[in-house]
Amino acid sequence: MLSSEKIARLQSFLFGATGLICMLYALLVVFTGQPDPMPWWLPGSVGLLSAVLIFGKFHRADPVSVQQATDELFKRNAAIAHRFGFWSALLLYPFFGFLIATGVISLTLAFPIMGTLTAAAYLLSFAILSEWPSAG
Amino acid sequence: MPGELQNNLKKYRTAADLTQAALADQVRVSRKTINTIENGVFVPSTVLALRLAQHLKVSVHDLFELRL
Repeated sequence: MLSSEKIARLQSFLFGATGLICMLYALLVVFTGQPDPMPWWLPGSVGLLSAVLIFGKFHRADPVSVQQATDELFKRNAAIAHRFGFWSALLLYPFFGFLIATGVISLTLAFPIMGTLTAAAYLLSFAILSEWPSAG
Repeated sequence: MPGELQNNLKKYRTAADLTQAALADQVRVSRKTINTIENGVFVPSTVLALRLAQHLKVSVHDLFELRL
């Protein structure tokens, strides 16, 4: 039977891995100047695969382990990550609006960067908080 | 004037001869939650504080106090 530690660790690992792929995608767009520096479907597919794996692990674990893995520290970390992801997503608009208006970056490049950074902000902050709660 | 929350969870847990994992299993939270409470990183809810006190057979005021 899966322990609460194992399913919580798997979740933070998968969130972190998906977040890193999103971040990598954004960085590659910046450095290569291409809107699709890797297959465009890769970040979304990794996210979907992670969701399926997490759901599967939680489904197979016993209810007590799930309760322990989603306790109030988990909810506090999720709330902080939601807040960080929300404000990051909002702040990307004026930031990239400025960059587009001043001609630093094109709309074609800004779109994939903003999309992947929005996902990365939530996923990475959740993974970091799960492993190092004092970061919150 | 707000005071600083101080907790004696580790003291009472070790006195009860419980590991963090054992106490976590009893109150149905993760071991990390117990660890972060003991280190002052996370302040538990009233319900969890009451459950911890109940399992350690002490009062909430023994576990948590405001240092003024």
